[in-house]
Amino acid sequence: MNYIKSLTIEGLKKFEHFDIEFDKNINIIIGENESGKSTILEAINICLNQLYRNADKSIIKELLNISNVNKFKENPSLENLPKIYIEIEFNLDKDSKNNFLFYGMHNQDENEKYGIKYTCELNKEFEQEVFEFIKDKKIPYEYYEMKWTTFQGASFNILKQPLNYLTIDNSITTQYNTYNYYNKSVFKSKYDGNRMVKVKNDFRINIEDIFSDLKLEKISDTQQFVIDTKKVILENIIAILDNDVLLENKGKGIENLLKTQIALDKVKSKLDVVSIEEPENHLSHTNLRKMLKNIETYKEDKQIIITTHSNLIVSGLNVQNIIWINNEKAKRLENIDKDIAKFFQKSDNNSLLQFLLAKKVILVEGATEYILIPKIFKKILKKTLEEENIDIISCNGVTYKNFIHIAELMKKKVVVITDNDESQEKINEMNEYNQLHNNIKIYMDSNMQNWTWEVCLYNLNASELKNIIEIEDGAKYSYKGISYEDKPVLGKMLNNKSDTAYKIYMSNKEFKYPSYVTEALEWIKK
Amino acid sequence: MDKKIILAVAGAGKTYTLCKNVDDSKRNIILAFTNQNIKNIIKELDKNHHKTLENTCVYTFDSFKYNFFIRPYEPIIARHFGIKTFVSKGVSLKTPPPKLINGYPNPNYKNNKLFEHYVIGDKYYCDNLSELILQVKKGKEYNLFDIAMKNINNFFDYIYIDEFQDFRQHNYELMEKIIKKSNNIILVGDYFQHSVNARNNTGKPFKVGNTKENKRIITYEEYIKLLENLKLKVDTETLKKTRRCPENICKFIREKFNIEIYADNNNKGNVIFLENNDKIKEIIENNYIIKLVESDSKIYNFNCINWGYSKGDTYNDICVILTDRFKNLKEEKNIEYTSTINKIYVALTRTKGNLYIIEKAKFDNIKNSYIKTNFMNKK
Repeated sequence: MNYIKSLTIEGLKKFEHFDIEFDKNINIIIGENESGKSTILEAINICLNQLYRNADKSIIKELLNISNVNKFKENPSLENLPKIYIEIEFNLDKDSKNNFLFYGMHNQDENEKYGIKYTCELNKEFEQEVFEFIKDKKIPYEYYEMKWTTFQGASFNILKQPLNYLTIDNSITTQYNTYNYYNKSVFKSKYDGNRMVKVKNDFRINIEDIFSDLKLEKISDTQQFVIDTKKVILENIIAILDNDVLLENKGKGIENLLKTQIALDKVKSKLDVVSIEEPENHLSHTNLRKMLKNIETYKEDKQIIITTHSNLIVSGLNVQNIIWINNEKAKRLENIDKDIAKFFQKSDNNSLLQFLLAKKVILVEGATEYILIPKIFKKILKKTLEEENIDIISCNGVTYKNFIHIAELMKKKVVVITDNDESQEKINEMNEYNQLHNNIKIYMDSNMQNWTWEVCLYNLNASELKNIIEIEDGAKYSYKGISYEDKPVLGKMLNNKSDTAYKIYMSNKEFKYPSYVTEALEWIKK
Repeated sequence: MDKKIILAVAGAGKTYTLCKNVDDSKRNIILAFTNQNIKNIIKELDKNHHKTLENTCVYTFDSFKYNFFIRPYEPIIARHFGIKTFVSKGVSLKTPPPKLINGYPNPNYKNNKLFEHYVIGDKYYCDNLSELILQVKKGKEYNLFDIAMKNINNFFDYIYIDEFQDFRQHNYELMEKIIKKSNNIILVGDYFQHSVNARNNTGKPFKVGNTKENKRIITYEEYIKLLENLKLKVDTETLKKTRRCPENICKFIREKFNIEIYADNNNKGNVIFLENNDKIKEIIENNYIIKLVESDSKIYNFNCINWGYSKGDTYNDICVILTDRFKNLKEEKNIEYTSTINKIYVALTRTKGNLYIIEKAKFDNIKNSYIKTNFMNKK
């Protein structure tokens, strides 16, 4: 299988230095806004499609890493001129065409492998001429050059591709360009170089013939109209027809779905690597599911690289495929336990993505805690959760153990606030766990009688709660087979958990909170 | 493993046979010595396969050496010579400084242990590429040839080599190793066409002996033995007949030089020694008949080519202008074999029609009127 093994980026946009390894099948890149997800795909594009090759030199200004630029300005010298280096390593099949053009030791660690490198730096021939620029702390973009070299040491000819690569960018909305690029790419990957050149050539000749068959009168003895064939370039004017409708006329959502479908079908498209930027854009939940199914179906025979903000994609495509981008580091979640990965894949409506991206997390059992804890936090710590960059996530039936397994791998600071469920075993387990872990702590009431959140609250605030929880005359409450005739307020609280929580939330009264909760919140804030 | 060499006679269709044998379902690389050979090969591939070949590529031997043995592994080469980094920008056709000038040691000569022996500026001396490949090794630590050859065997199923007799000295040594280490290799060559080029005429494998007295050229039989020792199957049957020269021409060559060449064609043509001046002038001035001169073709104003350069060419009729060495060609038979025979053999076998011959003395009489004016004084 031909696929991208790894990518190294130096000095491009967000990244001063960045390394990422890819799985040969599915890669789901997640990260906060501005973490550099798109830059990864852009870097691949720069290498493989020679993006910016013909662009005006002013583009370089946008590509250079800001801190490299600042370093130069602080200490302007020839050596400190910012530059960009990108290296992409492939796995190429033994019999993949032209593979030898990419094989060699012209890479950073001087090992034998397949790949391409890209450099954007001052053209050495002009070193003498940029003196004035450097003195003025200016970067001489006009004297920069971009070079694409294979690991063999030869310059990379874009017509001889190491593998067939297509990028689908659903985040760009300017219709003409994306379409053009997409159609062009499918066209190019569908037919090999020779076939394409012949088709283009035949097309050009035929167009000239068709025009001359029109037998237009000459302008004068020496002048006549002809077709300017420079302006009719086949790949610029082709479009894709799907069931008699042009792809671009199908509406954004369907168009995305179809584009992905065409790209993913190996047999039809011959693509080795497909990258999709934010596939969730313009897609309804149902269509996104369809797309995920597509990706699942075709994952075996091609490499797929996705950037996303969608929780459905993150949990729906197996957590083991996730690459988390944070602080210029790529962290793969491949070591996640198989069963836990499956668990998230099946449980649909979870907050996995939020959990993965959060800096600190409070994990709670259900809606009651989810509603009240932000209020408690603000009350006792005088700050909001947002101000402290803490996310609160309700496990909603997914046991917190699945989450903390991931947190352990990611070395994420997590606190779990949970119930002891009248189990001494559970309390013991908690103590044991907390002794072994520094980043993750579990908090529950260590008195077995305070077996759940509502009970804890009730025992501390019985009189206040009587005032806000209304008990209808003659109402009898029981919960899990136990009668609460003597404590009807608690009985109602247990039977109407979120409603009670909402009432407490809205109330202006002062409440006391269980000490395990305040301790938990103080610990996570630290 | 499929390793064989097909020995051919002139005009038997070496390149044609080579190209016809190429199976594009395998990954092939075809190597030849000159760019002219490469052009011929590409033409033949097109003719034989009627479509662009997907898995077959054609390289000159020099570009093959550079791109498959040297360029990908430049860090190893730099390390070998104790240099920090070296990234080359191609190959230089300049002649490396010779060891001796007029018998005296040349101060500019660098011995083969030094990087400068192989490199000028950021380019490699083309002439020393093979030597470089064989030089870069150190005990069990690294061996450039082995590293590269292992990968070449991964990239290609078959190696094809055209004009094998043109590989000499270091090139030949390298070729020997390639033959031994390759998976499958098919070569074609013609013993009687070695030492015909202007370049690469010395050393292995054809010249043996190191004293004046025992220096000699190996015989056809010895050559076959040598190839067999390389574990090559030697095929002397497939290409023993010429598709170019008429039988009358073949017969003439057999009688004069004892070279076994037979016709496998219906071409008609005769050997015609031109006797009278008028006839000689008529042929010389006939631009449709190419004249083959031993050397200095550029000084004449008629259509002509040097014997050595005509290798691989085919003409309807030719006219060979003899040298002093062959002044008795008309009468002589079984002329003793020397390497000069190869050159005239190449010249005589270019025709698929008539072979006109002008003896040197007769040409000398009229020569002056055919020398370009700008060469008048020099000659």
